Amino acid sequence: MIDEGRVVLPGDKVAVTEELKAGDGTYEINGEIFSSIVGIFRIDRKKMIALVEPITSVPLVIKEGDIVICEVKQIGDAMMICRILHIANKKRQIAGEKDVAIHISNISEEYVENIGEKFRIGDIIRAKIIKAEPVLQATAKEKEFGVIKAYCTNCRNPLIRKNNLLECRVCGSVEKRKIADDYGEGDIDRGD
Amino acid sequence: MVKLLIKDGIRLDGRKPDELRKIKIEAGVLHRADGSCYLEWGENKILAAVYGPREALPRHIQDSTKAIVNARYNMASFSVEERKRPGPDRRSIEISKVTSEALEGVIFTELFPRTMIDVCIEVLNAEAGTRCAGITAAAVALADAGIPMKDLPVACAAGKVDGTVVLDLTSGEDKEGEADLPVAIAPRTEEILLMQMDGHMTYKEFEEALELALKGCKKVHELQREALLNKYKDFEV
Repeated sequence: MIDEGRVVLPGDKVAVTEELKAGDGTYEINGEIFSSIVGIFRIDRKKMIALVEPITSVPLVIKEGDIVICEVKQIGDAMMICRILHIANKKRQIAGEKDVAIHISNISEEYVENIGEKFRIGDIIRAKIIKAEPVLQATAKEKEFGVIKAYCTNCRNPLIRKNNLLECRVCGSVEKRKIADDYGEGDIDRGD
Repeated sequence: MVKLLIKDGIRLDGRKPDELRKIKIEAGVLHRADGSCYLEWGENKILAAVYGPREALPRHIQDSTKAIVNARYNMASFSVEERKRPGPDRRSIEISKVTSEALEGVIFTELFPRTMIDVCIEVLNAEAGTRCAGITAAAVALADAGIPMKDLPVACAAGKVDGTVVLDLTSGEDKEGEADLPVAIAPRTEEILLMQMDGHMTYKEFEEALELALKGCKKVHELQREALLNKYKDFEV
């Protein structure tokens, strides 16, 4: 076993399976454990697992608890499908599935008869991932989640917030949405 | 016939038969790429960038079991003496394909299903051995992008000029010599990821050339490691 805290590169031998189990950033072949990434070698002494903590940027895989910015693509009776555009505070492109489902029970705290009352196709929303497997699921409950930018359903011009309603400056129509508390500020990296 | 070896087995550029050209590797040179590398190998100047894993598009090319490794080898129009017509040609399409397959051999592609890893290899200046230099640069860029790999792949060529097996051919030796043998390996296991041969060699010469190319790969691997450790040395505890 090499010393903890050393920088290792892909293919460097870090330990053998008699000492530790292969964990994140490592792989095992013929009883030997090697690093698979550029990182710092660490040992989880509780579970006796060999880990390599990355020091490079890492591929972006969506996991539970991530705050995402997405666009509403499709609205059904029981759920709506959104496409993830960005993960808050992450710069890299998303590796893997980008479509996320939001069930009607996760649209808002209050009772929702019809999803179309709260979101419309093309709205940019903030939501939180609550399930990553087997398909992505998110929630828009809580005040910081919901629409952060919406477009007028008549003329597609951006809507401006007016108290708890959204107003179109061009055609004057007033629309209802589940609005995030920072509607229109454009802060896509706001976490929780 | 051009004379390629001056006396005592010294080559035209003053190298011994088993000597490499000068190599300089720098990791993480591009800000917008997920991982990148700049490499100078003799007169070769190569820039490699890695993007992804990201959603593979169009959707029908996605593989639900693994990521697709999509390497693109491209020579700049100004990379050779006579202006090269820009865009992919027969040669660069083949090199892109063999490079993708060589890199696929070391990347843990099954960790990122339905995605694509793009590796762009831009040859800014070419002087023989660009596919080897491209793979070497791509390996450093992949490591810089944090993509899990079995090993840090590396490539080096050997060949035969004036009846002598030599390492790392220059463009003159490549054109006038008898054979060229580019080899890419995973250095830990010496697993061969790419091997092509141009020209003729006897079986004995081939074995000798392969041996020499493997030795060259090991030397280049040390430089790759140095480049990565150099970039991330501040993290050493």
